[in-house]
Amino acid sequence: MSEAIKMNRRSFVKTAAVASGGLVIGFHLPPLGNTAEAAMAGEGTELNAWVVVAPDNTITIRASQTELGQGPTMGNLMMFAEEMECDWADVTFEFATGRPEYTNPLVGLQLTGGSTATPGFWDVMRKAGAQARHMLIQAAAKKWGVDASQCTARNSMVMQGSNKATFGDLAMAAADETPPEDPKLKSPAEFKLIGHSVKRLDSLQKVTGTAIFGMDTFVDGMVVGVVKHAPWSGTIKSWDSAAAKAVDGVQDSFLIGQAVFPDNSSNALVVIADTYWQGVKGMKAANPQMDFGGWDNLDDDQILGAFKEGTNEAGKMGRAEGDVSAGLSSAAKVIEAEYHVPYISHSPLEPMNTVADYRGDFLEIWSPTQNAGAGYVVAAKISGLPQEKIHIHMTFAGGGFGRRVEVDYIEQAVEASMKVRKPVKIMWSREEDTQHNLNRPSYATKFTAGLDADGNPTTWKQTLAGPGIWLSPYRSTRLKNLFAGSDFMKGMQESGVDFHSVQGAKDIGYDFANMDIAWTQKDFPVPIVFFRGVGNTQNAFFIESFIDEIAHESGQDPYELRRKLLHKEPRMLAALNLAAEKSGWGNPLPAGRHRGIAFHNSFDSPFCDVIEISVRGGRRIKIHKITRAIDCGIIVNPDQLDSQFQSGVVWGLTMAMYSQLQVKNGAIVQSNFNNYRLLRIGQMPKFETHFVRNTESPSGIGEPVFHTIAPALTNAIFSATGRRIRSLPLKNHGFSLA
Amino acid sequence: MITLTVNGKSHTLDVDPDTPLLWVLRDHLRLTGTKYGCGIGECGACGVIMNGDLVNSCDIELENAAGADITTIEGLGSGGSLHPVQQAFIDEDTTQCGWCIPGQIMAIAHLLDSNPEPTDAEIDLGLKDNLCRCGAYTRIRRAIHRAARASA
Repeated sequence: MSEAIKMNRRSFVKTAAVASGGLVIGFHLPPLGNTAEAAMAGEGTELNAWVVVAPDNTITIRASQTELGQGPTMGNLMMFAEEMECDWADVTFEFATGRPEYTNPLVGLQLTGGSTATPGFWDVMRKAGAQARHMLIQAAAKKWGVDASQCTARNSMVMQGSNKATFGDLAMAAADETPPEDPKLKSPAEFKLIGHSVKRLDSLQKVTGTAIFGMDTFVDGMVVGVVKHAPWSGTIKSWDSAAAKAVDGVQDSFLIGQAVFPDNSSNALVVIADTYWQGVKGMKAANPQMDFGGWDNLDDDQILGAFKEGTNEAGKMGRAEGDVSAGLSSAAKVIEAEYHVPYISHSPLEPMNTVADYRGDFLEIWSPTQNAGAGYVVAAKISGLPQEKIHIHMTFAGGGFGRRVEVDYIEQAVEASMKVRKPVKIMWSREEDTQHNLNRPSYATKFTAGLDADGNPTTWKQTLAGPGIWLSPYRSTRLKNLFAGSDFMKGMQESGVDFHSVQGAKDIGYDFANMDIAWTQKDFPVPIVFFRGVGNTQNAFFIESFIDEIAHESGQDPYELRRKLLHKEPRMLAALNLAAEKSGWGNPLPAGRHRGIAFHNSFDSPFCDVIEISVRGGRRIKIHKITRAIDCGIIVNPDQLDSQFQSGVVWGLTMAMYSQLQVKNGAIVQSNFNNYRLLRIGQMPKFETHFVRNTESPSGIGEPVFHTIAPALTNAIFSATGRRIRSLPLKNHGFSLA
Repeated sequence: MITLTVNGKSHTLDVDPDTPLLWVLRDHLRLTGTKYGCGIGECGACGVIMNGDLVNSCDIELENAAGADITTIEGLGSGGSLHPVQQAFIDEDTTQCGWCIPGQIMAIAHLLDSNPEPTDAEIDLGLKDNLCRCGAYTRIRRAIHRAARASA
């Protein structure tokens, strides 16, 4: 830490910017309440990339992961504060981007996603926190003329005998200290913060309306750019720019979306106006005319037809064990079933937006993005500026769920600002957000299982057919451009199989002697990308439903069958057993009540749900209880985890009951929350959660929490009605929630 | 020129009269606590109190708010202290992404005004127009009961 910076924060900002590829020439003062900038306003000393300590003992820890709601920010701050020995009451935070330290070690970019926020930063944050503590202790030891080993840090203070100093008192001197490269970290038994429920630090801002999200960003001289996108593989043929300009407040209209990655861009018309509503009116007047690029007739029948056909093709092999052909021909019984799911949308409640201010020699961006790392890359590519001349302010984000891993809205804002030479806030309406989302792909699958004479499945064959997020020639993730040619990219398309297509299928823990997992690539122009849980969202439903079919076909208890098949996976078995035990699986139920069970392992977290329902009139589902069990290793913040468990119930039920984007005439039919339904408060059932307690490193939470809800529900419906549900959503089968 | 009162302060605005109140609050008055989620009155993120009624501000054209008395999330607390519903949301650690939260709190404050101790069924009805995509419904319900107890 010989380069430790010690100065007031104004000059810190400038120096840090030079050192790390950030800011700062003539930057706009941000609106009040923007946490990202709050720490820069006062006095303080930076001990390392993660922490600034003020003389009044306010400790500002930097959050490099986007706060999308799932709580990664809080978890990472706790991990840091645990080792630094902060009094939690002294801790505040700010978002930070652009320094190499902020790179997510599990991804290689400053990206929030893949349930990596806690596992990815578990060692990083604790080590950096411990180093900050060592620096403070060393400074105290020098001050008191004692040996550092005699000093201890606690509650934001260093103590030795009758000596006492706050971190704030010591910070200036501590910045000159060099901490150990590899400090010893606490054992779980020594944790004081980790494992305890700690309140979020962003609540006050969020409940008073002062938290600044992307859309809440205003900078001097800013105009608004309202966008309307061309059809997926089409173009905007023409528009009435004069009529648009005739609208009060409208300044300009032009096409954007061609600047980078021409094979992976969306074309859009942007209307530049003083305010959003003027832009909306301008867009109406512009009346853009669309060319569908020959895809005018694309619809669900064509897409699903191709997928179903694909499940009968050989496909590419994602995993092969034993001899499936021999296993099937010698089987006592062979069971087959076909399943499919539709395209679905993330629909974060804050639609896509970003502010960019291109000033020729500097580019400043405010974005509610999950991927500042990719944001820097695309912004540099479009503007021609080196990354040192770009700074991205990561704002609060009104949900993300994978959608904001993409940075198309950043590209649009940069392009528009370069064109008008003013700060531009790009704004998507809810309709644009729904109809031009990059979606969770639709998928079809076919299972064939061979059972032995005792009814045990020994052969398992699954063929999936659908588009590849990494391989599609149509619009999909930006990361395929960013990672082109890298080892990471090779891993995402090993043997020509799209990683996320078979995610949660190829890696199942069930033990079959013979096993084939194949994927047939069928791409269409409907844009696709990562969705909370990605491949697991469809594969957990497919697999857990078919396992249930096997259980019923072979006269076995669905829980007992899963137990047998998981015999080689003790951690998975423990989560399964815990859910069964806590739900009273096997105990008699009141008349009319039925249970369904589903298990899935994703992001290294085994998860099991048991759902108890009754069904009235064969159609109206009443959920009486959901029993949830997970093994996610060490729990950093139980309270945040509980929040994710309720979120998982809402996500699972929304997807199971309602989620469906239909394709007709080359476009999405649904447009807004009146026809793309989400669960409402009155439909929220009771649930309880149970943890497998251990001291394994923390594993994923944000994504695993909802995959087992849909199959547990449909398995319960089978138990109640004898109807096997082989496609989602349930509203298409006439079901509703009581 | 249209005059209206927002959080006790009078504003006279030279803004197109068909502009939805939501965008007047956000773009003209810079009161960004009121959120845009759908623009068609389906999500409740833009909820404000207008002349004592809970309204979706995306649904109200400015000319129909002329002379109105409006309270937004920024004006909900009084004398520098939080409204009991805001405090309950903090105490129950209710927020996730936070985008729906101002609308939820305005709807709950309005519900508790007329019904200080709502039952679960009354909560379901009173909050049926407020979406939370993160799915914080269990904690929102808990916060409502807590706020009701605190005000009792």
